[in-house]
Amino acid sequence: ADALQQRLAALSQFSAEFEQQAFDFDGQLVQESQGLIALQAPLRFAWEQSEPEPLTLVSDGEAVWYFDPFVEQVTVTPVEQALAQTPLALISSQDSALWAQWQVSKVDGCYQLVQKEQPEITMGICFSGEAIESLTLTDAQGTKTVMSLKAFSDQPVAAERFVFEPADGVFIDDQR
Amino acid sequence: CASYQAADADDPLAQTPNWHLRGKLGIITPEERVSASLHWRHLGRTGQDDLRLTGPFGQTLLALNARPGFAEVELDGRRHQGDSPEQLIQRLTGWQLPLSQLSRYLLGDTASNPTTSYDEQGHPVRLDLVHPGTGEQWQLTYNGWQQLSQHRLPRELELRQGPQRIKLAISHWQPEL
Repeated sequence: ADALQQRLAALSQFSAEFEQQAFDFDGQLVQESQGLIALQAPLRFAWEQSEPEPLTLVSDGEAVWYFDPFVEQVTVTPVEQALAQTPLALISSQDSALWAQWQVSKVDGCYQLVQKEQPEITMGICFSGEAIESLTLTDAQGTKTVMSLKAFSDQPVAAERFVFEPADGVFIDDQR
Repeated sequence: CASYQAADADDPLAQTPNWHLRGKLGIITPEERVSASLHWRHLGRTGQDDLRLTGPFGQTLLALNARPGFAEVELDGRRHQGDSPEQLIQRLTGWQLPLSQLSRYLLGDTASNPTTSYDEQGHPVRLDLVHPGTGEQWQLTYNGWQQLSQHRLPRELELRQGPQRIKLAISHWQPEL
């Protein structure tokens, strides 16, 4: 695991374009989305989805601001809770307790992670050179989500990218 | 008949009883606002419906499977069963939704509902839905149209009853042969 951790530690921040597809257990495409993603250790990230509908998730390291224009609402949750279900939490954190939950192995160029307590939950992290090429998560219900990254850049990311200012009139559901 | 399905044939959807769609579901009430990506597989011939709500990272929030006389919902890792999706959704959320009529209206097929109002291009604009059991009335409004898989389908529609609003946007629709 430390090889992967070191590789990710060297990549303290990045930005990229994402294309995400989620498939259910018998391979049916159940969700597809595209947009921009930026990440900065520890636990700061920006997920700016543009297709098929706009959606924004911003983590400032403490809380995640989830703005969905479709219902004109911002939901604010503690970062640990919101990130628990995504590879983003792991790849943006050096928290050994978080890493200890995963069994890491390298399988033809990609790192495979299996959750020790729930082995049906697995993750895949594939690199192309220094860049992360794809993040894959298979959850307890067998849904497989593949996030492919393009136009990957490890240039410094502007701090404002990880700050969310709700427009006035937007409904705020603060769950902290 | 013509292999290409003319968009405004009298009943364009009768020839496509089986389909699946991807879109977005939003629920707005005075108490809460919830949204999720929706995947719905409708098998008209066998009366089977599989719905799945997923979060932004693809995680499953709710899975509903229904066939005549049986419905099952998986929510927060727990399974709930009932005789119909309407009964199950009513038990879980308190909502009384006229679901059985919805799959037809969802696709813009409103010919069977006399309360439907139409715009100048002949697109349905609004209609009333009455719940067969309770007589409760919902109003359905169409917001925009699009062509998907050679069929004219709504871009977005909204079901409203008092302060309760359900929004549905369709981003992909495909018949299954």
